[in-house]
Order: sequence, then C-alpha cells, then structure tokens
Amino acid sequence: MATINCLNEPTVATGKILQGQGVGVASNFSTATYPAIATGTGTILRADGTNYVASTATYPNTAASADIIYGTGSNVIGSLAAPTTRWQVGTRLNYSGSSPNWMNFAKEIYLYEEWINSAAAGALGWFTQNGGTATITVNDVVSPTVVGNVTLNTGTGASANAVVALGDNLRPMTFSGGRCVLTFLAKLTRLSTAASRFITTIGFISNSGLPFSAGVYFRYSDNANSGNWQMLATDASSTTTTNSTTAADTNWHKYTVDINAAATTATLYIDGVSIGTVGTTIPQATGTTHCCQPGCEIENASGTQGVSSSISVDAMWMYQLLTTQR
Amino acid sequence: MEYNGTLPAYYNFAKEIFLYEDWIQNASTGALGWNNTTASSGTVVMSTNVSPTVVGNVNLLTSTTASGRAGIALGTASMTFGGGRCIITWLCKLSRLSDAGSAYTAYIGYGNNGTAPTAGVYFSYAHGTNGGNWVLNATDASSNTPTNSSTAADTSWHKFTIDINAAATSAEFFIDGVSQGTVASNIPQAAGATHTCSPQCAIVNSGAAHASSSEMWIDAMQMYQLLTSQR
Repeated sequence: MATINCLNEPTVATGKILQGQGVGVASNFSTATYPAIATGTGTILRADGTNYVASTATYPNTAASADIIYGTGSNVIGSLAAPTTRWQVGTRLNYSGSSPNWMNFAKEIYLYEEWINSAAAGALGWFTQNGGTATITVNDVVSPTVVGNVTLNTGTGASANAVVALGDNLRPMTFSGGRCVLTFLAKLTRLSTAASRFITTIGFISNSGLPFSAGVYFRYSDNANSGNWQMLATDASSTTTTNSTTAADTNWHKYTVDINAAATTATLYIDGVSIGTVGTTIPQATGTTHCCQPGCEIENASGTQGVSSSISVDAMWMYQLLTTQR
Repeated sequence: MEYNGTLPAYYNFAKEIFLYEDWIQNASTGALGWNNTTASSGTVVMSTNVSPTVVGNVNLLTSTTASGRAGIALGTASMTFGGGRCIITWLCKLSRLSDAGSAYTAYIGYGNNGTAPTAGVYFSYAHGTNGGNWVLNATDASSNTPTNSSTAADTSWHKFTIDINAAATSAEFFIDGVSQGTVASNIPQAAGATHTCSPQCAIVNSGAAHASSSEMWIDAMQMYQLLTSQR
C-alpha cells in the first residue's frame, strides 16, 4: 500500500511548518506561522489569534515547589518563593505596596475594623470618650452598603467632643520605622456653620480632644481654609498645616494618610485622590509627645451650638511595612 | 490565599485557625480578648515604650514582692494538640536578666495557669537553671519533659517560635528562626483540664522579696493551626 506523507509543493508562505494530517493523509503546511528564530531569552510562543509569535514578556526557566508566578516587572514574569520562616506558615499573600509577598508579622502590621459589633470598642478594642453633651452610638446609619458603624455625636453643648481612637493617652505609634498607610471610611452628617460650628479630625491623633500633641490627620471646620479640608502634621505640639482645595461634604469618603518610610512626607488622599502633602513635623521619636494612634474626633466650637453635629465611621484599616524586621 | 506550610492554598476556616495580635490598643485585652493573670502585686499594663519599630506592646511586671507574677493568656484551657500542625510565635523582650537578688522565671509559649504550666509547651528561663540558657518544655498532666538549649537569655527583642507537628509527637523550638531543639514527649494531646492549655506568657518572681521588679515586654503574637481533618 502506498502512503503519501509529504505535500509536493515547492514553495510555501514564510513561517509555515509541515504538519502531519493523519495516517494515510498527505502532510500539509500549517495555517498559522511560526518564528524562524528564537530571540529574546525567556520568551515563549504565544498565539496572537492568527499566528504563533514570541511573547513580549519573558518567563523563568525553572520553578520551585509552591512558587507563585506573577509579573515582577514590565513584561517580566517572575516568581515569589514560598516563605522560609516558621512564623510565615499560615500567612496570607498580600501586596506590600510594591510587590506581592507572604505576610510577615515580624515586618508587617495590619489592622482592620468594621464595627460590626454592639459596642464602639469594635473588634480591635477602641478607646472612646465623650465629653459634655456628646454621645457615641453604634449601628445608627446601617444600610445595605453600610455594614456596622460607629457615630460620634457632639450634641449642642459648648466644646462637647467625642473621640474613637486606638490607645488614648497610651499612644502606641510613632513613625519613621516603615511606610504606614491608614484609611478611615467616614461621613459627616452635616457641614459646620457659624450657628453650629464644629471641628473634626481624621487620621493619626494623640489626645481625646484638640489640640493634639502629635499626629498626622485631616481637619475640617467651616471657618478654616474656606471649609476645605486641611492636612496637619503635629509633633510635640508643633504643627504644620497644609490647605487643600477639596471642600468637605456630607458623603461617605475614604480618608487615607500615607506616611513614607522615613516619615519625611505624608500624602493625604480622599477617595484615592491626593489632596496634598505634609513634609514636616511628622512625629518620629519616642516619648508621649511624639506618639499617636489611629482615631477620629469631633468637637463643637465654644458656645452652645444650634444643632448637634456628628461623624459616622464605617471602617478602618491600617498597614505598616516595617523597614527593618522586628 | 495563604501559605499552609507546604503550598499556597485558599484559606479554609473549617480547617485552619489564624490568630494575630499586635496590642495597638488602649488595653491589654488587645484585639483578641486576652486574660491577665496576676498575683502578689504583679501587674499587666499597656506600655509607653513605643518606638518607630515597636508599635504598641504590653508589659508583664512582677513587682518586687515575693512570688509576684504577671501573665497574659487566651483563656486557660482553650487548646490541646494532635489535631493538626500548630505554630506559635511570640515577639518578646525581657527588661532585665534574672539574678540571685531578683530571681524570676519567664515562660513563653502555651500554658494554663499564669505560672509554671501543668500543661503546655513553652520556653522557660531562670538564671539558676541550665546556666541561664533557655529551656524547652512540654508538660502534660504535670509531667514535664525539659530539654536544655545552648542559647543564653538576653534583654533583646526575639521571636520565640514553637512548631508542634500534626500528631503532637514532636515540638521544635526556634529563636529568631534558628532551631533550639526538639521535645518529643509530654506534648498535651488529650481532653480534660490536666491536658489543655492556651497561648500564654508569664513572668514569676521566686519566693523571696526582690531588689528589682522584672518585666517581660510583648510586642506581638501570631498562631496558625492547620487541622488535619476539616472540622
């Protein structure tokens, strides 16, 4: 029996390769084309929808057990090795700000609060304090998209204030040990006015009421910076204030404070949009005048106010990547 | 996604337990609801020893009173072993070393009573034991298997890790990731009060008045257990 196993065709389009078509069937050239040479170490063949071409990205030649493959640079596919320390067993994959990594509690701090609780202490054990006519309530603005919350209400009393903070006067944090990013999801229920004036602060704060001795925080009142948010850094009661052009409103917003590793600059964001930077008096020394904690505070101006003001807080998270493993 | 000790895996709360505490709070109960155990003027306080790299920490102080002690624990009888590999790491620091004038014993790991555990797996240190080097212990129903390490205690921050295998037939001890040795008997693994323990640290004065109070500072704790059978 004769077997025809090769196409009798003297020329063919560039890049096509001869392929078997089945036993007893004449071979033929591929529809897709292939590159003639393999340039670019680490590239692989990839279908572009019509032909096979070398990938732009390069890939590693080897992998170890439990490696995670990911983009380590522009058009470079690399790998993340499994952790080698015992205290990283059981830890999750997270994003450290520059690359994926296995969470390392000796080098990273992560706090998350949703206030899905019956008390303002929440899951993290928040310190709360309300002075004068101020009150603190929980789960008062719950909706399908607001799952648990705490609200700080001033009442109408002069200088009445309410605060929720992790630490009160113990002030568990100072900076320059590594990049630290804090976000509060919060909402003002009304804007400050001359008749019912209040001041609110969001971020890292140090005391249960103004003035703060240390912190990096958002500040709002109607009679400062035309009712736009201000950015403050305070160290040992010395404050640097930067004005933003973002007006306060009564919507839910994500208020983020991002302090760089050396604590030489703090960038503040609302809903992911930078509203400015503070570059001096970011607390970074030991001692109570230099230490602070995540917190929010609201307080009435002096004199009885016409109506109560409040700030509701839905959630908080904080991440710090220590520069040196502790 | 998390790393289960062998491979990346999606977290399964029916098969995995993960606890993490950093004490960035106003109270020593922390985020996990820790119990304080104190006696004879010992105290547990939140520390103001904060620095750029020590973000919140809790202090256990013995006082100078004879037998003064302070401990912190997640309950007293919340765990026993043999149900799956369990790894705990404490990030701790001793404020001073024990000496004849102010002798104390420090316990780091799992325990059950705020003092020398009758059930637990733990590091222990006292200046008069093993030449002041850390001792590796497993205790079940008051029966203790101590193993001497050759690592001297000091007053620096360290990560104290205990890795108990799935069957609880072996516990390997690490300081800052370096193995200190293994204990292979008396690892608690039965039900009942004499066999159960919980994550615990404690510092206990000897039975005489002391010249100095001694302290253990605790910055953070992490524990992970991968249950062998899904619960």
